[in-house]
Amino acid sequence: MEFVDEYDAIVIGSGHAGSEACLALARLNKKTLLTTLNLDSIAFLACNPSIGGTAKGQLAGEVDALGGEMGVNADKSMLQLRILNSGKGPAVQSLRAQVDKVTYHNEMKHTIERQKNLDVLQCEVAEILVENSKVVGIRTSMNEYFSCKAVVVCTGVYLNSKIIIGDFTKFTGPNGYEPSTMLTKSLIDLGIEIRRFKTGTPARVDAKSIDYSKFEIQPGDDLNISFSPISKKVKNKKVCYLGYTSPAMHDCIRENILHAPLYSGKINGIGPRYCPSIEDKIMRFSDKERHQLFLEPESENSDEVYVQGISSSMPTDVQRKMYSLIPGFENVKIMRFAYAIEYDCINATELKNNLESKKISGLFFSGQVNGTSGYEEAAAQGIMAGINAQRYIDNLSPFVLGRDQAYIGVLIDDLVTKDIIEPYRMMTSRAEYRLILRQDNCDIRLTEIGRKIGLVDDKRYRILKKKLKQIAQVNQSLNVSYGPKKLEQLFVEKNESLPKSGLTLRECVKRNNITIFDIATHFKMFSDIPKNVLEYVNTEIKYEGYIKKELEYIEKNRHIENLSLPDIDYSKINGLRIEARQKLNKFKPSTLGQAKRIDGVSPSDINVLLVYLKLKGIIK
Amino acid sequence: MDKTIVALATPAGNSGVAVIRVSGENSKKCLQKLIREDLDFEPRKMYLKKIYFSGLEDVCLVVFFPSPHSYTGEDVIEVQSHGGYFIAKKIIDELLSLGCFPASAGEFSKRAFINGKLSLDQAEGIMDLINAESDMQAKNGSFLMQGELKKIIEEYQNRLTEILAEIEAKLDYPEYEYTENETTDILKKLKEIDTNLSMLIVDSKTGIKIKNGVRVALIGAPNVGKSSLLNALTKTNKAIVTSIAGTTRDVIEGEYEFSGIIFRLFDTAGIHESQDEVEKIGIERAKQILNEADIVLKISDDSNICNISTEQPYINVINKSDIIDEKKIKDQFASDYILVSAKNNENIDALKQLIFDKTILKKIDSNKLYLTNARHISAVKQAKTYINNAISQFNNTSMDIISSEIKSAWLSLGEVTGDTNNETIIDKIFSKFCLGK
Repeated sequence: MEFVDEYDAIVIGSGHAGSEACLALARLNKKTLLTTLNLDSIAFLACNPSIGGTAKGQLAGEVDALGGEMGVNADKSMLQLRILNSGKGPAVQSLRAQVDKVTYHNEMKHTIERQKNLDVLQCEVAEILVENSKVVGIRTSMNEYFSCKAVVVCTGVYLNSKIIIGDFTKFTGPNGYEPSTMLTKSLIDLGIEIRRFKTGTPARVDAKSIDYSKFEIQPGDDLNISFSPISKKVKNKKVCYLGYTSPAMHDCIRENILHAPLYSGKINGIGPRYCPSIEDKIMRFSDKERHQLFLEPESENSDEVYVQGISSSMPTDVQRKMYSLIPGFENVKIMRFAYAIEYDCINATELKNNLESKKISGLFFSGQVNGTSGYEEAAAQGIMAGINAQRYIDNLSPFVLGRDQAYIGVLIDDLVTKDIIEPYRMMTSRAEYRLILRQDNCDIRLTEIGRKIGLVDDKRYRILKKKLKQIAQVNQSLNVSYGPKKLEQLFVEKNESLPKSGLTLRECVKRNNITIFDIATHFKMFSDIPKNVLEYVNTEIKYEGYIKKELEYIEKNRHIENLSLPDIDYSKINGLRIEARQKLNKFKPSTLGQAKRIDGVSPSDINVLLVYLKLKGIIK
Repeated sequence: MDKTIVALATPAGNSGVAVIRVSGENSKKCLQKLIREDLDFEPRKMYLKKIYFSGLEDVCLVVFFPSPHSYTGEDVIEVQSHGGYFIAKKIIDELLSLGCFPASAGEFSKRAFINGKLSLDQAEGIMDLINAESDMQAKNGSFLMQGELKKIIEEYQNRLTEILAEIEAKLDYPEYEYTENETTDILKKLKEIDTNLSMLIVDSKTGIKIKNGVRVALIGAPNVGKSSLLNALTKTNKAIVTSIAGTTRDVIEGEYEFSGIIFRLFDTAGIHESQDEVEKIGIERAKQILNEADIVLKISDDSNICNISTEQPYINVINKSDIIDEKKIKDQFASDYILVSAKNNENIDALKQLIFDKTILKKIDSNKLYLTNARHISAVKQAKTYINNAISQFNNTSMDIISSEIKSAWLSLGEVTGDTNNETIIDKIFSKFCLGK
């Protein structure tokens, strides 16, 4: 066997995980090869043409803050930027960007091509070469060999993928791209457990065939920001539309439900509960008279429209009929049919919290192959796997983010401790400390860390420093106190009871009806401070008590969380329920915090474990 | 491997029977050595056997409980010897020489807990049961032990989880807004839980009285017959008339049981103006007793009227009914008094009933669980605070905050049953267990 070339690391797959992984490795000075089945599929948005959304916006923001590419790339291809949940509180507000999917791909491809230390090769990886439980290289389907010290598997939905449209099935990846048919066997040979998941996508329809008068227009928000703080401000170029399904459409789906592959038994993979197909929604929530749907432009230079909310795997004739029953779709022309896709993925509980296989050193996994769904979840794992592969090669300690530091931490911790039985989608309710893990402080939380890791360049770092300086400046100005006289007009205007004695401006902001923007207008302050910085300070003041409570909780739990567990034979601890013993022996958690989150381990089991450890003198 | 432990399971001191309990792997072997016979015991069957120890012998009842069907979940043996400290001690000495270790405080229950035989609140229930002095105390302890509290708490937790699920779904799906009906419904459900928790807390005051006894303070001039009243109240139960040191601060002068409740009597002799420094401390102490009393008995006769004012509920008790001029009393108190004669034991039961009625305000339901444990009460109170926060801010703040308050309430409730992991709690609980149980 002769190696064509020698690399530090090889990344298999060029989707959202693979793109971040290879860029992170190359930027951390590792000689990296990115292999992809098709160069035209780099960072391909196979489903919705958007980045972000609830909790996903935070993930993308965190990837960006660490020095990743997703946010910047979204800004380069931005069609519209919105802030979601603005009325439901700062903890659950997220950015969502509509992007041009053609531009998104082109820009990412070009960024990768221009990256130093990074080669790209279109090929199919057939085998991961391992010696003494250590990665040593790969073999392609054309029998070329490349050596490397680490491999990051980012195969997304391409492993033995099969699309399903009614009775029609075909072994193919999304959009007619080739599936990867040889790598699964190599993984099985390495002792990796393979499972099969399913996901789906709606039809793309012709804009010219839509009666937009029956939809409600959804413009972007006038935010004057960009996804990434290092990009220039973005403009809203396109609008989306909001519409609804109809009772007639629901009837049509019910009548044809036996043709739905999920119900006829054609689909064996397990689909996500969180973005179900329309047939799933109608069967499961039969009391709902109608469901929302959104029309999203796929590209600035195309008439293709993505119909968010109506993914399906019905046969083509049923699809034609049911889509035409959406008000405004009477004359709709489908350009690409909706389809379901089944694919091989791994059981991520076989990974350590640095995303490396527990069995094979140097073998990392990230993205949908780990059982997640979504571009942002993939990118988050991609950058972490890239960083950790570099740290593995350079013999550095793993880089792990805590659940109290980032959604990325929540994501990976969940993946490696919970037995995920359906595609995993990030949600704000998965995070314990979501008032701390906000969209508006991603950079404050993580850019300093990214700097130490080595991915944050001078420009990004400078921008963070500037923001921190502005925040300090605003906070200082808010310490000024004013007498009741000076405050009177503002307080009357805002319907607040007048203070008896003087108040600092900070105390004024704590009042229910007064914001930092009222202060800014009234006292003519902060004209040189960007709106998002003021927004940040406003949130920090208004929610100070709650934020403090979360911080205290984190502090209180730190001991249990970080208590490291020795190699224990859990089957010997009688007080643990049988399921808990089996799960603990299988996962071998490294900390008590991890043990606590394993599915099937109850708090009572943890209490038992705590007492056991104390009795054994393992902990004091 | 866990050591085999031994301890006396009955109270130390003279008693009819003493029970010695051994738990651990070597239990059975130890028993075989004690009876000098390789008997293969039938599980949980009592045998009458002669046992040999420290050069002595005694005929005892012995039982073998094989793991896991025993109190601790380990192999357990119990030896019922004749009472008396001496014999029990000698048997334990023999067991120690056979390789057993003396059990540390709470170790049997700790093992039971570790082996999944007890939940946290059950363990606490056992502790209450052991320390029970009255019927009600025992009943409440056994409710805890049977996991009644866990059921109640879990029901509230489930209701909170339902509310959370409703809120969270909308937080994660921005396209769905809350309808007005939905928000009023959430608020209504929160208020219901708040009411329920309030009742638990209110009832806990009765619960604490059940557990710790009712604190009755006696006040009045020295010669109005305070001590004879004390004797009259307590003499029905001679066994506990002795002075018992209560907390380090105060001295219980006596106690009696009435309708299943323990009443503890505190004398506050010496409340008057004084310049003397030492006496001043005594007076401060007396005032403290008054403030902490559940009820104050203001004792008077016709020449010494007790008119010390107190914030606590009180009863005007007029002693010496046989000799006093009742008209004088009527002028002073109208009809707000009770006439007794401590000397002749007149009206004492009526006084006890009055004390009971004034302190145990609600009818005690013997089939109901009362919160009596300070840790449980404080956790429930904490949960209520969080729910109150959620309610009071419901219309002024965003749903993420409401959700965070509800989650905190959920966690606080979990601390009662040990569903929320907290190391310090576990430590505290097991350090309180008494030996042998």
